[in-house]
This record gives sequence, C-alpha cells and structure tokens, in this order.
Amino acid sequence: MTATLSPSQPPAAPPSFPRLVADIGGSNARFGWVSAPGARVAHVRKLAVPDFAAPVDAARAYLQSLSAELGTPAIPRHAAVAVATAVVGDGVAFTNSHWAFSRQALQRELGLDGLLVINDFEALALSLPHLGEAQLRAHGSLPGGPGNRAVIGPGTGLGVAGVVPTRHGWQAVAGEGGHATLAAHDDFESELLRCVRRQFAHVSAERLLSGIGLPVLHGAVAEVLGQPVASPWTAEQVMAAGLARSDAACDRTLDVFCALLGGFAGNVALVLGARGGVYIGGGIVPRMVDRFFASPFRERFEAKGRFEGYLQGVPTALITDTLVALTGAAAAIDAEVGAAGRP
Amino acid sequence: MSTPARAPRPGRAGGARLLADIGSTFARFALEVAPGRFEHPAELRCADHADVASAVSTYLASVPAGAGVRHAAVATANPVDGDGVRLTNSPWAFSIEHTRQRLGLQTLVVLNDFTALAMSLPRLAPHDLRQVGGGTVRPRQVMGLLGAGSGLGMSGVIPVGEGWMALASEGGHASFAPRDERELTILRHAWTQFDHVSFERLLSGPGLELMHRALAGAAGQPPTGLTAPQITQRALDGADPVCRDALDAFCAMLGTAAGNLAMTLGARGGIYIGGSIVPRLGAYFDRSPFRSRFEDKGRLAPYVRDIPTFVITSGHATFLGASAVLDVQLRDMADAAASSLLAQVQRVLGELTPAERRVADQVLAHPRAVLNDPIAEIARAAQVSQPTVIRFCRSLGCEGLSDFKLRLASSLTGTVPITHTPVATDDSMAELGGKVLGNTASAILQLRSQLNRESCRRATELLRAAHRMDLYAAGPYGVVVQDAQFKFLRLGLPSMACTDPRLQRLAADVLTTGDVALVISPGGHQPELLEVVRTAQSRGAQVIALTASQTPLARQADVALIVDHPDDMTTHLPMVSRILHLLVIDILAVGLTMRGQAEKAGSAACKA
Repeated sequence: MTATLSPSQPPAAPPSFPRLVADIGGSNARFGWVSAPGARVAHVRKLAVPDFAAPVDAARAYLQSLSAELGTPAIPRHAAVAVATAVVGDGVAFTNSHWAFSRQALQRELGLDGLLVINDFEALALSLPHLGEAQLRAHGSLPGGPGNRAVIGPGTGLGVAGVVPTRHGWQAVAGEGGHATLAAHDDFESELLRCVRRQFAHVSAERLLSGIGLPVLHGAVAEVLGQPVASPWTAEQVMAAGLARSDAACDRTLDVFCALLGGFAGNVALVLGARGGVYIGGGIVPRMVDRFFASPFRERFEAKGRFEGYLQGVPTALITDTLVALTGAAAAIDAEVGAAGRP
Repeated sequence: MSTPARAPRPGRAGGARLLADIGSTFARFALEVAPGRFEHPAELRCADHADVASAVSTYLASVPAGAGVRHAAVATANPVDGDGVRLTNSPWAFSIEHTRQRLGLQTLVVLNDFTALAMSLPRLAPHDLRQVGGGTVRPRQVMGLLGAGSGLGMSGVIPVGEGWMALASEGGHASFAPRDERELTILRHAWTQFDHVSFERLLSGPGLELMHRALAGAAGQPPTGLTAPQITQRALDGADPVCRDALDAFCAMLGTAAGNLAMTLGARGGIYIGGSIVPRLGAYFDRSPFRSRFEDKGRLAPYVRDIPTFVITSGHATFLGASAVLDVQLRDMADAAASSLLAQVQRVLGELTPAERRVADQVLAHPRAVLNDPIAEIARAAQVSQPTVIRFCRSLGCEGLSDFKLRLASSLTGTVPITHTPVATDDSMAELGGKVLGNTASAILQLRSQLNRESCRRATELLRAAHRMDLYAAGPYGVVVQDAQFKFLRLGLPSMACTDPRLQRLAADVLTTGDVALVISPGGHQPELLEVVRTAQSRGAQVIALTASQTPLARQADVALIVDHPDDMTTHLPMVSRILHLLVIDILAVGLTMRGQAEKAGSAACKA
C-alpha cells in the first residue's frame, strides 16, 4: 500500500483558452473572441454570409484579421457557434442561406479541442443571466432576481427559450414555443383569429408575431376594420406606415402586435415559471422601441386574472444589444468545459 | 491491505420507507420495501385522526416492521414552502420538524403532490402508463406533465447532471386559445363570468361544468346544474349528446394545452397526463380528439407527432416521485456531511506533520475503510506508527481515534436531519435572506456534529472550579466576550471582558492559580495573544481557547473548543463564526448552570 496523492492536486490539462464564439444568421455571421478566463467577448466583427462559401472560410478570415490586429497568431482552443436553425446530428444546414457544414469537419479544420453548435435561441437564453443595464431597456426594474427566465424573439420567425438555475449552473430549455396556439384576449382579437383561420388552419403565435406574420396580421386588422387590402403589404411597409401613423390599419397593427406579444409573453412566463424575468429579443421590436414602450404590452402581460399578482412581480425588458448571442455562446462553453482556464 | 471504498447504495440503505399522499379527505400510505416496490397500502380518513403525526403512527403500528422506519416522504396538495404546512380544506396543519421529532424519524420530506408526480416521470415503467397515439420517447429529454382535477396543474422535469429537476410551472393559468367555433362559443360564455379565461377555467372539474352550461345554453336547453362526475358519466354512457359534446371539447382543449406545453418545453421525452379526471375516462380518451388536436400545430405538426403522449395509469406514481425526492435528499445529506469533515481534513493538510499527512491522505482516499479498520490497520496502510494516528486525530480536535471515527461515521451516513428543501426550483433558496439564514442554520448543525463534547465538559469543569475568569478577544469578537461577561456574572462567576491587547497583558499578569482565561480567536496565531496566554499560564491560570483547529492557540491552550468555519479564513467580516462562538458560550453557561443545580440538589439531598 502506498500513500495516495492528495486529491487537491488536479491532473495537468491543456488550457481551454482562447475561445472563438460565433452567431450565424441568414445574412450575417458575427464572430467574437474570449481571450482568458473571466474576459468578456471582444474583437467582435460582422461578416456577410454571401461573401464566403462556408462558415470555415468566414472563421478563417476573422482569425486572420484578428491575428493582424493582435500582432500574434489567434489560435482558438474551443469554439461555440450559435445557429439560426435546428441542431440535430452532425450536419448543420441553414434555411435562409447557402451555408452548410459538418460539426466534426469544422472542428478539425479549425484545429479545435472542442466545438459546440447550439441553436441561437438557446444561446440567447444562456446570455440572459449575464445581461446588464447597458444591454437592456426595462419596463420597470431590471430583471435580476432569482428564478427561471425566458426570452421571446420576434424576428423572421418567433423564437422562445428559457433558462433554469440548477446546481450545475444555468440550463437552457428550448423548444418550438413560437408555434403554440395563439390566444385571443377579447372579441376584436377573436375576430382577427377568425379571419386568419380562413387562410391557415392552425394559428400559432409565430403566424402573427414575426416578420412573416406582420403582413398576415395587417391583412386581418384591415379586414376587421372594414378596410380590406387587395394584396398583402410587406413587413417593412407595415412597419414604416405604422411608425409614421400614415395608415390607420398599419398604426393599429403595431398596437395589436404589441398587445398580442404581451399576452403571449405572459403565457410563456407562466408555462416556464419565469419569475426571474421575461426578455424580448429578435429584430422587430428594436425597430419600434418607443412605440413598444408606449404600447399595451406590459398591461397585457399582466392581464391573467388570478395570476395578475404573479405576473406583476415578473420584470420585462427589451434586449437592445445585438451581440448577446455571442455572450450566450461563451456561457455555453463555460458550462461544457468550465469557466476556468483548465478543464 | 485496506478494503476499497464502496459507493453507498442509493435507495433502501436506510430500510423500508414510509410514503404518504395526503388529500383533503383521505391520506394514503404505503411502505416502499425495495426501490419501486410498495407494500401494505392503506387509506385512512383524515377526519378520524387529530393530526398528521397520529395518522402516520396509526399506520406504522398496523404494518410489520413499521417501528423501524427512519425515512419518510409526505406529498400534500399544497404548495410547500418552509416548515409550516397548512392543508387546504382540511383542519390539519403541522410543523415538519416537530412532526419528524414526534415520529422519531431521521428524515422527513414534505413536498407538493404535483411536484412528486413530476419527479416520478423518469421512473415510470411501461406498465404504469398507457400511450395515446404515436411518437417515441427520447431518453434524457425534457418531459411535460398535465393534471386536470380540481384545477389544471402543469409541470415538467428537466435532465440536470445525473438527475432530474422539476419545473415550477403555472402554465394552467395561461390564456385559453380556442381552436374552433365550439370552443369560441365556450370562450364567449366564459368571458361573461371572467375577465381572463385561462386553460384551468375550462380544463378542470368546475371547467367541465361551465362548458356544459355553455353548450346546453347554445343548444337552447335549460340549465341542468349537472356536476362534473355526472357529465362525465353521461358522456361515457353515450346517452346525452350535450354531455358528450362537453367532454369531447374538454379532451380537445387538453390536446391544445398539451401541445403548447410540449412545444414550449421542447418535451421530447413525452407528455404525461395525470390528475383525477382523465385516467377515469379509459378508452374514451384514446378515441377522443385529444391526440389529433395535440398534433394540430400547422407547420410544426411533424415535431409534435414525434412526441408521445401517455396517461398515467399507475396508482403509486406520487409515491414513486416522493421517494425519488427522498433519494436526492439522502444523497445530498450524505455528500454534504461527508464533505464537511473531509473538507476539514483538507483544510489542515498543509499544517500537518509529514507523518500525520500520510494518515490524512489515507482518510481522504478511503474514508470508509478508515471507519472500519482497527488502528493497527490504519497505521499500516498509512505507513505510520499508531501514536501518529492518534496525533492526527487530536490535530483535528478529536480526543482520539474513536472520537474521530464517530464524527467520520456521522459524516458519511448523514445523521443531520434535513426536513425540507424546495425541490421545484431554487428560487426561494437563492433569496438573500434565505441564504444567510440557511447557511447559518447549516453551520449550526455542522457545529452540533463537530463540537467535541469532552472538551466542553472539561471547560465547564474549569469554570465551575474557577475563582474568577478573564475573557480576551479582539476586533469583531469583542461582542462575544461582552456577552459572555454578562452571562457569567449573572451566574455568579466574577468575569471581566477585555478587548485591548495591552490591558489583556496586564490582566493576565495578575491572574493566579484557580483562575481561568477564556481566549477567543479564530485565527489563533497573533504573537501578542499567544504571549498573553503564556503569561496567564505562567501565573498558574488555566486557558480555554475558542478557536479553529490546528491553530497555535489551540495547541497552547489547556482546553481547546474547536469551531471551524470558513468565513474566518476568507474574509475579515465574521458573521456565521461569531454566531457559532456565541452558541459555544451559551453551551458553557448552560453547562455551568446545570452543574450548579445538580450540586445544590445533591447538597440538599445530603441535608435531608
């Protein structure tokens, strides 16, 4: 019997920094750099998807320019990529771009010890506990209390995800919550749903609360107001006319959008038990910030009968920083590999 | 050779477990004799018993080996938050800790019954369930739970690490989303009564009655006032078309709610239906619009089609879940307790002599072997002499090997009872006040298992014999000696608290034989303080030290009362340790009082 080594001495392991993080959407890919334990995501750069044949080329271009900037070769040990598409199996293909890649191949080509590929809403959710005043605009007090949190993002589609504090850190809960059946709050909204239902058998939240949904919502509002449109407007047209208040139906559409979003966000808060806060992400609401904060969103968020008191205690905030998915990707590596320099 | 450390077997290491499910009218009991094996099921009327403890006692007295039960889990239909539990629609209200003590249990877990049902999901076997429709369970994925009864419960479990965590959902209160004209009719009717119509307003016993009224009204029928069980029975009989319509609408809406839950949680581990209503519908439910509505999610239909839906048919699912939570608690307790003593060994590692360190290494590597082996075996395994093993034990503030083993044993088996931890979420635990109180409480429990009783006895003896006592401390510990001075003066022992180093030196220099100096210093290494101790001892006084293990002060004192708490090491803002010191003073004061009384009684007896 020999004396055993003290268990307080961990075995030597290669360092897990620096780390590369990326957020790949349909038209842009954002890259960032985490140089050391505790460092924030830095050297963020946005590259256009059409300029590159595949993600590995864009990543190499980023690393090359970063090397020049740092004056020393930028060689990442770990990387996490948030993608705006479903992540199942090794192959990742984007619905809104020509990019596709194999996870194993990308890891090999970049010479990484580890590569995480996660859904962009999962990344967004993982970023929530790290967001501060500079990245948010809240309805009242900033979120920050204990408890689960949720994020709802109307963009091209409608993403929904949550994070739950566990003994193993924050854990994301992500599904397809944007496709839940949409509820009406009053007779006007019931009429809207009835109109839309003639066109689509199932009316999900995403059907109206998204970039693809805004024209559908506008068409229904115009019809219920007795001013039906001959052919659908684009989301941009509805947004522009609504913000300028140059068209009554578009104007009303933006209010209805915020009201429905508030009701839907309240439902998500209840289902996920998100007492720690509900965040609004995505690309649409940041284009109508003042309108959003003047809208019935918060009122409708709380209007849940016996659970009004519960929801009054849940903070809501708009994410104003477009780079938070990178923070979430960095948090995902922390959760997988450890936040310290050595795994 | 030492025996290899065996991993503790999770489950029935502590013997049969008592499981209870307490409703407003009946309390159901069972003994879990082996993992998942429930015996002696019984149902007692709550009204026949004064309280929970007496109902449990009655049950335990009626089953063989009931007296040997040490661990129990009780599910109730209430939210459980804190020690006090008050049951709705029932006169029973109880304190968890008080009930645990009355029943002589080592562990008593009280949890919400829906949380218990959620925690049972990963443990349900195929024969506990009936699948409705297609889909495949994906292992280690989120599972969703709905239960319609007096209300509509929603929950789920999330895979976390090796285990599972229940989700504290309030999804039953989300806004109801109508899917067709029949549901719109029902919604309009409900809006005449409620500003906000949640799923629960409809998917519950009262909801079924409301739906029936709405549909009967729409069909031009007069109100009948049928109850939910009557509506269900008439629908199942097939005789009453409006009842059938109402029950069909109920099943369809439950499909909408279940589909929404499945998509929001990404519940690829399946959706499970419990509660009192659906499991009684039998094959009717399987033929109902439930599953087709569940899959009716437009473009995302393939996503939900792949998610299986099940009716929970097992009668003991709540017991299974309660037992799962008990498992987690017992394991956590064992881990926490073991880590506390082993952590103490870790902390002093650097201060031990090389030989003592070999013993420490042996303890850390094979704690269970050390527990069982005789001293000769431990010494041989660590390649040290037997006196070194004893020295090692003393370095940790123990009297000797048997004292050390006693503490190690209680660490490894976890005798510290934990009565309640919210399992649904960590939120109330994470609350600031809860944390401070919780940390303090657990530090006190730790002190209870670590404090050396022999040292306390000896310190009390010294105080009893003392003519006078000086109390020395500095900085934030000054308040502790002030408190001690007040107490001991009241007990008739001349005492002086002194927090100024120069004054301490002068005071120590006038102590005489038969006096005591009580010195409080967690760090226990300041040269001035050690000088004061030497002065007191050179004058013939005895020194009691209240300090951490392995400090120079502990070694130099005549009696060392060891209080180890990390906030002494890491911050200059003692909080918990100060409270622990106050408690040790209380123990000494109580000890002094008791001895005084015993003597008075003794002398009175002699006189008589």
